[in-house]
Amino acid sequence: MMGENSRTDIKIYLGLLVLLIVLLLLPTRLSITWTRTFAMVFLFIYWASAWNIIGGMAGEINFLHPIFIGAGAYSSTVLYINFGVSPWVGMFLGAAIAVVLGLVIGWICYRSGLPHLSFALICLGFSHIGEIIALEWDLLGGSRGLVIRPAPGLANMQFETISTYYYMGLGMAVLMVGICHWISRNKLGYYLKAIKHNETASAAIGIDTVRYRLLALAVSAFFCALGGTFYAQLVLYIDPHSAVSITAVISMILFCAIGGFGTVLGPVVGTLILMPIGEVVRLYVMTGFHLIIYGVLVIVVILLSPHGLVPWFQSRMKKTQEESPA
Amino acid sequence: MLVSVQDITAGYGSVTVIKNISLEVDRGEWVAVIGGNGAGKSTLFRVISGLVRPRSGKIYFEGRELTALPPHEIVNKGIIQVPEGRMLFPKMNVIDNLLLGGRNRRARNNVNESLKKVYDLFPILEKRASQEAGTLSGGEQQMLATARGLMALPRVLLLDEPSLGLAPLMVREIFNSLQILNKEGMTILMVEQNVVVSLKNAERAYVLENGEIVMSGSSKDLINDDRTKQAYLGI
Amino acid sequence: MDITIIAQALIQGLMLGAIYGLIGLGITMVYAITGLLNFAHGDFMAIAMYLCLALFTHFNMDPYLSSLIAVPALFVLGLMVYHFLFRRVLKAELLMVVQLTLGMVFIIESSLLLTFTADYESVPNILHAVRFSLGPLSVSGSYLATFLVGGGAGAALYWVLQKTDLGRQIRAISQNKDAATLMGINTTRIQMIVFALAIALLGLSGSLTTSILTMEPYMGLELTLFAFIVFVMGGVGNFLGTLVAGYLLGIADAMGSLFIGGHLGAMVPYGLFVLLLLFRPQGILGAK
Repeated sequence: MMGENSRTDIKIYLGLLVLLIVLLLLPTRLSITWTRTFAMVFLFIYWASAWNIIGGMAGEINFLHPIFIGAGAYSSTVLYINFGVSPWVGMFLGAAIAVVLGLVIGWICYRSGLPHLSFALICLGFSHIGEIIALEWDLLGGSRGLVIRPAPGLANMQFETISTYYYMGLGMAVLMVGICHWISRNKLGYYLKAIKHNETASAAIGIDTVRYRLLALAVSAFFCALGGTFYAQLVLYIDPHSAVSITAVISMILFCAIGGFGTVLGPVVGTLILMPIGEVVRLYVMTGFHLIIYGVLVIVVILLSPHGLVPWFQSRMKKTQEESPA
Repeated sequence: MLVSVQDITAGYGSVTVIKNISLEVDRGEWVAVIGGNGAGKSTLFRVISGLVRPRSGKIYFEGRELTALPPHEIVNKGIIQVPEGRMLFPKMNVIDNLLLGGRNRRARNNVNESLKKVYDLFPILEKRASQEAGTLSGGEQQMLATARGLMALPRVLLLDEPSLGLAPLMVREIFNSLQILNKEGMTILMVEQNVVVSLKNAERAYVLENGEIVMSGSSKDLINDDRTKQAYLGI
Repeated sequence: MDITIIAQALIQGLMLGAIYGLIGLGITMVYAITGLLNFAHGDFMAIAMYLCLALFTHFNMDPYLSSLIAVPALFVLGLMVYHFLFRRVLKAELLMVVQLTLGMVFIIESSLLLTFTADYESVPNILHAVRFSLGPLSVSGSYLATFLVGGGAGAALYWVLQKTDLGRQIRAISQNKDAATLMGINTTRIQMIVFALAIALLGLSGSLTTSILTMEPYMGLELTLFAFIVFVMGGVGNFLGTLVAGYLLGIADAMGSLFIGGHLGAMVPYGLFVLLLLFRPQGILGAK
């Protein structure tokens, strides 16, 4: 049983390695538009994986991520524009703010043992409030947003060639998947799984559920915020609509749903399938139509394979292995 | 035969709870199914009522097959279950509970007479008419559950553990009422853990163990059977 | 601040509150008997509003008249959505239902965007310019109609739930589904009807508010959020609580825009909600 599993795993990792090599070589063959698009796809793999830690692994319907991403994007940008602080430094302030916000909101909510739905609504409410603050606060540029003057240079986290962003995004995605893999194989991952399965029972066997949920939320918030800075530097323009975006967090949730909630590879598979399709549609058919495609695909996947593609694929591989005599 | 259960196997998920159960109930009879906790009694009733689909086997009512019907159609045929734990609607008052009992196709034109009848049988319910069902005492709740079943004008009444959690005095009162009903011609199929009460009241009984019927016969024979005495009556 | 201005805002909030209660009641009913939560709930109201917009631009039809089309149309839409989608996730976990309905959010919002553009729209109705006054207070006809019809519908529905056989069936399913089945209630049918009824209520709410609420394709999620807030505030599954919470939210909304105004004022209802959840998580009328 164990052997079968690890054999499946080896196959998957080999596949990933091949995919990684292809992705490393790809920019030489891609147009600038597509290179940029893929940088964005990697960012979303990174974000969706970070969401998956608290959403998928701990089973929370968490909508706080617009705040985390916004904290990252706005902190580094405000510091850079007004005080010339390098985004490499500013992003950690953003991450710190995100972690503190996450911990405060999380602490209040987890302690009072709110049901999942109420918690989801509070999150949505806070995200809404975050968007409103970004709209109202002059320092953050209000609805006009903030423009970052192009000034390429490593210190400014701006690069001459778009393929540098591509590789940076790829690196971030690989790092995040690695972190998720590590978490899923460690105490935190097991505890989160237990909490997701039955919070009361987990508490009864001595797991400090509040602490581990907060830990997961903090990790998720930290990395989402760093991604926010990367987003600002890639696009060089942020406004409340794009940087504190509920649509973005819904997209992440749907990517995880298609790939498989709580699985390490789910967000990767989901994002890699949905986003390129969406971009083709957006570029060659109609902007806005890509969201319809996302919606339809999610519904189809949920109805046909409720736990997502990765678990479906794993169970199929297991079956074929069992059927073929060793 | 009014009810005929033939070779039913059923369970949940990968677990089989009852295996190849067959039993019969004739018109006007009072039949008991006796067995301990987890013997599969409630599952058997859930299968008869259509809440659980059997893996195999068939159920006939007046010679017609029930097995494929949805639960509400089975109720419309007059097969009425008074479920274990009573399953009242706790936040509705007594009268709303009774009205819900009497809303199936066969019973709905007869509601007023039925109401009068169950109030005659259980006068306390009339006093409690506007009280929420969840606030009644255990005995009153069992009366309400039984009365709610009677409102449906059962042609066969399925009673799941009518004595469960009741004081001996209350058990006697409930069974007195059931005796009256049975004398008037009501067919009763009942599952019970309380072997003494079951065999005293029912004419025939089946003994269920680990999902299978291990003994059956008239109550008189079973009471005098050494195996029953040892296993269930503790004599 | 002048007391009449406050009274004026209070009235306005109360009148809009009737609509919040109505859309919240839809969520409460559906949740009570299916355990499902529909994140696309508000988007169906957006569909109704845009339907009124289309009927107005093409046939110059008054939104009040359009409600005669919108209500049955949304009822049918509700039947279809239930039959093809919701029915299949009845036993799934909450997260899956959330995803499914978030998928619907994307489909509906983007379809509206592609069909009607992102422009802000509103449709005047016959009572829009009419004002009714009582002493120093005055109220626009469309607000009054919203209050009377919306509040009336909410009250009527509450009566149906409490006093009729259909209502008794709905309450029975919400209290114990298996027992309801044993009463001979066709639970599948009732679930489908209630879901469609909830969507039809959005048809009514949408037609009533085309001149009061500004429509834009992405409005649905915010309406859903309001409906959920009302649903939780009222004490999950509590019909009367939902209606009361609707009025409270309407008042909070109006007070926020009167005293603070702008985007910040719009935060008031959320703030109220967060506070309420933290100090009274069971809702205003919910039992502990």
